Amino acid sequence: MPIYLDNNHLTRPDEQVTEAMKPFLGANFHDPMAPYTQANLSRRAFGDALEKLYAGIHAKKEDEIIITSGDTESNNWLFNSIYVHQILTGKRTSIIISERENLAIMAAANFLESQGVKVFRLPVNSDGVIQPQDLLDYITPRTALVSVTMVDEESGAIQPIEELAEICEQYEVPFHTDATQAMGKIPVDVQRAPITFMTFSAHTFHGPVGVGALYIRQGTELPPMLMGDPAAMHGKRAGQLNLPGIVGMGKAIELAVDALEFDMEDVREMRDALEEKVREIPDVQIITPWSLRVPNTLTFAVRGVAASALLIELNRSAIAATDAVPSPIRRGLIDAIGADTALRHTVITLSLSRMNTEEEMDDVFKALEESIGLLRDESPVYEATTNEEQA
Amino acid sequence: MSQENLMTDTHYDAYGFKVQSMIKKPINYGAIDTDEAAQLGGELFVHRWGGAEYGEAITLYWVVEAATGTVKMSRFEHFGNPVARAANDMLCMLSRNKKVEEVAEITYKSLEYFLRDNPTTPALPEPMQYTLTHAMTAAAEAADAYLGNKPDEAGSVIVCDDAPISRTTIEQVIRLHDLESVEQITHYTLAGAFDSDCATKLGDILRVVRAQMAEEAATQAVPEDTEFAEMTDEQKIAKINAVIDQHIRHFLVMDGGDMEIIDIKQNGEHHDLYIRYLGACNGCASASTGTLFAIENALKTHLDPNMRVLAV
Repeated sequence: MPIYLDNNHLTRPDEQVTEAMKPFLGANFHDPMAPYTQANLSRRAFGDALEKLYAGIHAKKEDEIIITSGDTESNNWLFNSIYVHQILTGKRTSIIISERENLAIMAAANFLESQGVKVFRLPVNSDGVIQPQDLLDYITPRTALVSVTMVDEESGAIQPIEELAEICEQYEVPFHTDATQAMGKIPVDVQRAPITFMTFSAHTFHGPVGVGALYIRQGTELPPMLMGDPAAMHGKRAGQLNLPGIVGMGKAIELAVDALEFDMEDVREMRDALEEKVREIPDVQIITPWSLRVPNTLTFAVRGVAASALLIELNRSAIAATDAVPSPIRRGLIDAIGADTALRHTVITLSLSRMNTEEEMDDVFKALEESIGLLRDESPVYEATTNEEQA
Repeated sequence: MSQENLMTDTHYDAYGFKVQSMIKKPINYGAIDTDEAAQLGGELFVHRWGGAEYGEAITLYWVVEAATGTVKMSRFEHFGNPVARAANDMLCMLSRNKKVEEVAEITYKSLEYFLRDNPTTPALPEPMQYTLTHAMTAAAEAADAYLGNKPDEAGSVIVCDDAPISRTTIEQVIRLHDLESVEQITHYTLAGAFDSDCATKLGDILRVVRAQMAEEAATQAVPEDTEFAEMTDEQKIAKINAVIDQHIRHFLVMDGGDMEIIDIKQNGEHHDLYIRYLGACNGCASASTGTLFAIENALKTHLDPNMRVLAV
């Protein structure tokens, strides 16, 4: 049976989610904003979904949760709108992100940098975690935005969002966090910190793909990026509402929040059992300490084994996972945490969900042990790098 | 951008049968030790290329017959994307029973065509072309090391932090594949794949080489209405090579052979082209009959009815 361990990328929609969506893919197709009676069911479903979303992240009624097509759209909207309305107008000057943001934020920030905007990138320490005091080196009252992901999508490192948001509040600088990798894994509560903007996508907490949101704290101005019907999302985001997706996201967040502790405890136990065995394999380095990581993620470097080769071996055992190697727009994990560069291309991420089983973890370990042994036997660099380290 | 581009072309199952087989079970994978080399009647020569920090490393093991400088056996070990096994495996096969200097001369076209399942479908998608460049670079460097040749200054300067590729190789790759963008250079070399600071350096090299190519093209340009007979020998050979590339070479390579042009001479109204067969074509039954006629017919049809081809 196939084993899916790429849940930080995309989760399988829960059956209760797909069931909840079905009526709105058929007979109840109507626009929830339409005034006629036929649209009443759609309107009610839209309202119910919004209730669940507000409750799911503890937003106040006065705050806004604007539905988008997902985190990529939300992040691009935020960065481009800040650029056009804050930086080009001369009100503010720079943007601060971390060097371990998701690719949408890295790419958006790179684009602004190419347009002449000063972009500062906060480093992470050897655990893959940002030091909040580092923000003080860069932030000024003229900073237009500070954006730091809540959880690193590759290492699973939980970032100190509350401390960072509080520093931003002192400087009256808007603070954004992408919570896409946190939803359904750790509690997400916009009231626990002065968060101005927060992004999330349904596809990482067993909701449908193609739907997400941008949370905007009460009293914050953010002009729209997608122009059109001013009635849609109160003029903040034009386009026909993806009602099946919104209903699915509402159901998914309800399930994720209701069972968070229970589900994540099970996931953590499965992950930990696997992690314990993986630690026994020689020359394997776990990235980010256990206590600083979300419960579903296990990211590790396997000395002498290219991550791409290991993934192909795992694929032969019907195991889907992903690598955590450098990309042209984001510094790789190994370089970011200052580890041995020989490990740069050897890092893989196994991300679990509540849909995995303990038996699967046994199979995964067997496949890992066998594949690593095989690949090391024929690796031209394994012995060499180990000897160098010993020297 | 096209419909094809919208699909990922580096999916595990997207490769042809031959490449997939070599990824899964390369025939020439593994080390050779001195005892085995001695049994095969040669000396062991080992060359290491790349490194774990680049994400690509190749170790080549050659058994070389000292008296003749012939590679009797060639194997490899590889660290990196397993797709590269296909290029290295094929190169090891092509290296056997060749003199070391001939191994360095194995062309990209030969290597790529040998990896194809059929003549018209490229063996690898563009983003994986670097595996061919890496295999050839490792083999060429191994040959240089064996022969005691030292690279020139540009040949020893690594341009980017993310790929062990010299400036000379990047320039050659731009010319060979007529590359027009930094992204393409990355696809063909892996340089710039992870080192974002490298894009500027690659862009500078690209501009210089493209300018040189444009200048060369301008000086060698043949007016469109120029008759074949009126062209210089260099212009004729360029035209002939283009026709052979388009209509002939892939069939030769698929059969394990190739050809090269030795000379062209005017003989009355005839243009006599002297060629030499390489690899399996050399001495094959049809070399002086069917294959020769096929080459001559293609040249007569596309260039000049007075073409004659003579194998030497």
